Amino acid sequence: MSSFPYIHISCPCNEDRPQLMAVDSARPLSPTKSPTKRDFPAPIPSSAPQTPSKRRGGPMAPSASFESTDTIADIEDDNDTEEDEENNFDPRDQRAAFSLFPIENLLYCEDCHQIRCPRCVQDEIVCWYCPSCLFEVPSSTVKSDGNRCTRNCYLCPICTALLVVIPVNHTSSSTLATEQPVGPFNLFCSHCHWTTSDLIPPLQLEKPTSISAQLAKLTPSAQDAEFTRLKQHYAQQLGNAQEDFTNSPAALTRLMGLYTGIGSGGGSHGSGMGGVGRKGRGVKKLEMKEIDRLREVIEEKELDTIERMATLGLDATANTKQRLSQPHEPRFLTEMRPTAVLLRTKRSKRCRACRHILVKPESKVQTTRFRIRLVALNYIPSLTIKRLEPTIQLTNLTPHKTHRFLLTVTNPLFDPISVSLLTPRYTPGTEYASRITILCPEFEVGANTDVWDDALMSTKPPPPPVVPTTPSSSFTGAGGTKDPRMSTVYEQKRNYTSVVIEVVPPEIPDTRETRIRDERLLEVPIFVRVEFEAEVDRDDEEGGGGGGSAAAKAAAAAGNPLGREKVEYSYWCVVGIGRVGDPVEGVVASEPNTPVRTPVGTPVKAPRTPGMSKTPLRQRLARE
Amino acid sequence: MSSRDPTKLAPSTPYKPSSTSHRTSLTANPSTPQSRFSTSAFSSPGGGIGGASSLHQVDEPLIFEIGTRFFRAGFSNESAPRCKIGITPELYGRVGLKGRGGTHANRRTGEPAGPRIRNTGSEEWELWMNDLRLKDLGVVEDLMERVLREAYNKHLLIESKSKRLIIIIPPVFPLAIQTTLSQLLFLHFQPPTITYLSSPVLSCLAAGLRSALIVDIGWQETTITPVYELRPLPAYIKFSSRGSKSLVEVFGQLLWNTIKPAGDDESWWRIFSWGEVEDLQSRYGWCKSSAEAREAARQRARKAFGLPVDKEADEEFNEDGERIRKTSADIRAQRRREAIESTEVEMVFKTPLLNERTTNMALPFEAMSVAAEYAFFLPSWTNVENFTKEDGYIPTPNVDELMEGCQGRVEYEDESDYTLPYLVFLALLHCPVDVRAVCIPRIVITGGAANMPGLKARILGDLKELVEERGGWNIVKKRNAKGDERRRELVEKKPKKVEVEMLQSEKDDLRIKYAKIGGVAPGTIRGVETMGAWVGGSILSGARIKGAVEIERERFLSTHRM
Repeated sequence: MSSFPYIHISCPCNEDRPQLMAVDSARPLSPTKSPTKRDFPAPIPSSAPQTPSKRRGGPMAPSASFESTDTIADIEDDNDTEEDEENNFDPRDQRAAFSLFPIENLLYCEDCHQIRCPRCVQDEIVCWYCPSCLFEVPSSTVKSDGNRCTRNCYLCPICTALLVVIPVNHTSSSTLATEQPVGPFNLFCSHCHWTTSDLIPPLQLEKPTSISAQLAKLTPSAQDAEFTRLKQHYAQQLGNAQEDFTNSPAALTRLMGLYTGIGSGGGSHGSGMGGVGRKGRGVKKLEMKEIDRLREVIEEKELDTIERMATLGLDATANTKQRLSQPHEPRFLTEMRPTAVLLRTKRSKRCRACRHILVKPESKVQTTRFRIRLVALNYIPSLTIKRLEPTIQLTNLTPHKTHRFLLTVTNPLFDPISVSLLTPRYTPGTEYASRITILCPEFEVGANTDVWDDALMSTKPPPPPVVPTTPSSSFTGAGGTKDPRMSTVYEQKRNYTSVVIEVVPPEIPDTRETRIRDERLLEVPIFVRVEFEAEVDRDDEEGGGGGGSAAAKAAAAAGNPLGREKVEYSYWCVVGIGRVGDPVEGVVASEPNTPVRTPVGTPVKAPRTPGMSKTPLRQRLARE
Repeated sequence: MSSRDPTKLAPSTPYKPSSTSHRTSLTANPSTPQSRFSTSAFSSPGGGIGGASSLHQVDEPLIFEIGTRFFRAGFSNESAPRCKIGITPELYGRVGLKGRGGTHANRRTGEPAGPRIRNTGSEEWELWMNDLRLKDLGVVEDLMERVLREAYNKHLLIESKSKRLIIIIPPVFPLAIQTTLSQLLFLHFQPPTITYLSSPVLSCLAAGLRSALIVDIGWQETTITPVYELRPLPAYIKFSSRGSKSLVEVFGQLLWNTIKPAGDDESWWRIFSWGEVEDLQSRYGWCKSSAEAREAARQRARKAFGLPVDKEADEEFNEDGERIRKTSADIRAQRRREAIESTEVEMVFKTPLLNERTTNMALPFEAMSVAAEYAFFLPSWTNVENFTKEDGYIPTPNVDELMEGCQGRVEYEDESDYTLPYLVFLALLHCPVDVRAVCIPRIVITGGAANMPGLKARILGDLKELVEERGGWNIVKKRNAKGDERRRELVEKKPKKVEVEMLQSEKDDLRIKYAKIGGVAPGTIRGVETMGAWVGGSILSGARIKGAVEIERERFLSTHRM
């Protein structure tokens, strides 16, 4: 399936949300948490006071505290498994669906140094406009117009395509440009060929312009009429007795009157009885009436509807979607009305925490430009995953076999970043946990310098690789988890670094017939922590236009003589790798603690990256 | 973490000037020629320009109606909500994976699926459940947030901070969900105040009544609430788990039973899409009239006792064998019956889990009324049959059960087990007599399933029958009416003829009086149409009546610490 693999990023707002009390202890309270400090063996001294970075999930260890030979397994060994499981992000949790987004949907707050999802931004409307005619609607008339375009934009109630105005007697001869089309006109859907003449009674317009006004005249709404009637009734009542509309202190009086007065209940406040009350108590003001001419339930009417349904057939009735889009919820297609186009808004977005503007579109409707647009794609390293061995079928992963994937971290920033990736040893949230190992969890990613710089740099000798190893030997002989070669990156280029991730899925029964969720779906949660030194005056930092808070930055720069600050942020992301297939004979489970090392038959080929195929395949840089 | 805490936000953050200045710049050079036509006849008087209007707008609240299946939102003083958002499984999905819940999953070919395999029964078609153990409150919160955001950003097109809220909730609403909802709204959408209103009162208001018996046939349950002088009487509320959901469930089960191969115990909602079945039921389902249903029940009873079906016998001739003259109403009914009998419904369902991608079904129009019978009018232990049966789609009852003739069984003793008309009867019976007297001619049937043609009339018709059968509002069913009468004749003193006449004339007087003023005589069962709870809220808030209890944002956040 082409949709595998995919990568979704969990917005950190997920963790900060108030944990609501559970009524029953049916489910653990906190499904998602970032790793606490216990996951990081070495605590660090508190960061510099001027650092505005938001620390979540406890202090993070600087990358230097890790031994270069550390593997992810080592880190995990320090913790007991329960703790490990508790803190892991579970992509199968039902709530996870609400916090996971593709990176394209996320924003980034420069001041909080945090990812912002649609949930943790606050929208402010810049302007209203009709998406069909692109006319801007002033804010004062938006609401009274019903949030709809009042010009000539109408949608087909059947298929929601745009309607056009054509003369009813539409013949080919009359379409000559010289001839002015003559009425009556109707609205015509060029997609499904619905016209307003199909309605019962047919709806025909006299003029081809100002359709809204004509339609309003032609289609009196029974609902509106009834609503006005009710409103008038209550307005009248309120005029009579303003104070007891809701509180009804006269209820007791009326109750008394019930017994002393007419005797048999029911009618004492029935229609008309108040005014002609026997006793003539003179408390007319307190007498509340119900509306005259109640709309009674009439069986005959309902039976007529049934008969109409039977005679017209299923295709003449509106489906749920069509029905709900109309205010009067018609049952038959012949009762549908053309719907005016719903207006749209341009909205600017603010960070909910610090109120800084993240997105600010230009207020002109016709432009698609933004004054400010801090999209996450420009700030957080983007992850991509691809197969290392082309034989791997993503939709049919072999159980018990070690699948190697290449996880590439690309840095969009102009500063080099140090990235650490953490992953639970076993995929959480399922009883069929797959084993995951990231071979090099800590590495640097180069700055996103200009491509020309890179081209010029490439004439110079590349930074000397510290541990030069032959390409094929790096993975085949890696038996022990302590092998120093395992902690090396696979490939490092200008602004991206690739590491190898190994996945050993277990044997999973196909649960699609019995369960709701797909147990065979293999999703790997990865905790990404990014650390870098940024210039405080980030004018040169690419951000899609960071001019909005330039003043704030200047102030920050003034208070920071060094001009550089340490920034770190972290987030969970979920890599949807593929589906586990049926077990294959010959590939069996080995001991759970030693990763299965099936010999790689062919030498591992690096993915064909442009400009790479002829150079030495991998620049294997050890850490430090 | 603390800096992200939205409660710590300064309420007086000076961000307003920027937006207002922006707006004034917009109004300063209005580029669009405006046709100031209003599509709504009841546009608010508010809507001035600039700062004055913002003050005014605060007065006009937004009205939300939170149902299990649908969420409605709109402005006060309007005759219909601006948007009705139905809960679908897509709303539960991930943003990037929308629509990729494995829609092409095939049970046999085994195509890949997303995190969720598509057909999940009803739980992903509803916002919350009354049984909170079965649903994660966090998910409810997340989902509500998503729905509210869609309503604000797509349909209402208004900034959430400026508007008061009126939220219409069912009469009995889980407090935990209400707290969640308040918290969510105050944190994420920041309305100044929230007022919660109970839906039966508003339904009553929207019917133009002050007292009524509100029968709300909702998604997960039916609530029967007496409202007296615009006050709900919570002590007399009756609940039944018969609702729109059970309607869809029964219909789906019937469909699946029809095409099910023997021995397959798959749930119907894994085969059919819940949405498709619901759509079909809501657009084409109908309900038999009371008389027809009684006739059908009689035939079933005859069959149970092994008697032959006598169909023509009592239609054309009366007891004396005379041919009954057909009235125009009879002719109409005859024509209607013919139309119903002659119609056939062609249905196509997507059934990806079966061999074929789609399944075609042709059913008589009558089949579309069966689900309502099961869901609302048959005892809950009735086996759901299928549509292939020649002799009716409802199983023939046991002789024992017919002899019992009771509404409930010992092992099913629950109010959900009672048929809907009987529950309405019970609800009225349990009311204080004054309330009952007021409510009997003011029965308001509302809720999603009430739109089904024929259902309202059927409930009222059955109720009338029930009362006649019982000889009034009496919980004890008369077993031997004739014997009782004879006995009473022997024991009781017969009133004098003059007294009888006086009583009669008094009654007649009353009747004439009621007829004159256009009312109904006491004890007449009458149904009244309502415009629905949302419209009631719209009217109420349009009348600018302050809610008795308003939850203010600042105070709520200061008392509800996370």
